[in-house]
Amino acid sequence: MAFNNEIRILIADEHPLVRQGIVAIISAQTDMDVVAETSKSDETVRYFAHYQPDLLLMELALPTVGSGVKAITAILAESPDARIAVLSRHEGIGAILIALTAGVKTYMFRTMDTSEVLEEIRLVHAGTPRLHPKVLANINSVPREDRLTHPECEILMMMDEGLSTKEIAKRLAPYIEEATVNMHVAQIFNKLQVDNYIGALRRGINGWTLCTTPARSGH
Amino acid sequence: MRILHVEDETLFRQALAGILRQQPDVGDLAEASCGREALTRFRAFRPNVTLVDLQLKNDPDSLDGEDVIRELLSDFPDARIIVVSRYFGVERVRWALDAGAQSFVPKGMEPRALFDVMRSVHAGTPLIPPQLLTRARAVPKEKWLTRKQYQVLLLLERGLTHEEIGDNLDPPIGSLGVKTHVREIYQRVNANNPHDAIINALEGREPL
Repeated sequence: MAFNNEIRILIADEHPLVRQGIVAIISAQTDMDVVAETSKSDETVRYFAHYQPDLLLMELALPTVGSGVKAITAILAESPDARIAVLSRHEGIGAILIALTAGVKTYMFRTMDTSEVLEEIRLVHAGTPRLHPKVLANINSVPREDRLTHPECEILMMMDEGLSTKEIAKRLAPYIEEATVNMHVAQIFNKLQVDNYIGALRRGINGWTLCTTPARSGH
Repeated sequence: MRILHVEDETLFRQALAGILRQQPDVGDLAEASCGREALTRFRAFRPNVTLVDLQLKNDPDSLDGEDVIRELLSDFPDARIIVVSRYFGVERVRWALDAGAQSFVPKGMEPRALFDVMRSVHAGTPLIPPQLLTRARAVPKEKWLTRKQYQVLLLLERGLTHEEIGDNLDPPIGSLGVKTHVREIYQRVNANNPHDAIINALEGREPL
């Protein structure tokens, strides 16, 4: 039963166990209530419109790739004051920046402590979100001038969708040509210090770091 | 069963712990959220089944899932380890099993199926999801990667340049040597670029 002062939360996550875990933890809070849960991005948009929750807690990486950002954009277009908190397995700067630019109030990693997630939910609800030091560290892991620009983040997300540069250019046309996309991709590789696509995704989106120590013995 | 769960995604770890504790044959459950913790917990707790997330990160010593498995098995050769992984390409599965893991399960696996695997491993007759085996068996022997080539591919996946890959091998080699490995890898996994090589051999994201 929901009381007036409970934070009404909609949960969106594609992984059944993660979602189960989130629902259990939030339901156990006296000041929170789960109004609905979903694993799909289109349902997220529909449920948001229907339930009008106080807060949407969602995985950015909902299937299909790219649909998370689309859902965020769609919800904010309808409800500009919507409070969306991302809780994601993606820890890379590209994912963080694109979510924040899309208008989410905060970004959290799935590897954060439960107490930290709960505290941040309360802060978002109070209107004073605060990025966790680990998230800030990842944003600041590159000097400001090397930070991915918004077009670069968008292109990176499209690369994560599996689009070729040709397809990316088509999607961004008529504003951008294939040659320009290639230029952006080169810049992305440069900033992330990689020389291949998967590396760019692992570093830029997933947040995998360089292993700087030589291979350990045993192999 | 005494279970050690090595997983850095807090909510996943907690959710699985909640479900595991409801199982009648689960005795004690210990958890670790990074590689260093996994090693100390194992030593102290002595589980009979260990779940390790292959994509473990967040470790002060930069131990990833593969390192943890190797170190555990080197110190405790009888350790019964089940690899849990978001990516389950044929080479990744094969090398985990080759390294001594008892089984390999995709991270999205239904809890019930996961329990079957855990029980089978505990009983000494480990189950491996049949779809993973079928895919592995479809690769002819001469197309399998060597240990060194697998290492190179893992480093490529991390986004390292050829020079960095060379520096990270043991013994270190130059970027030309790495290029030779990479060419051979492409030939074996039917790719002509790093993206496809990684998709073909390491990703395995298709639904099982």
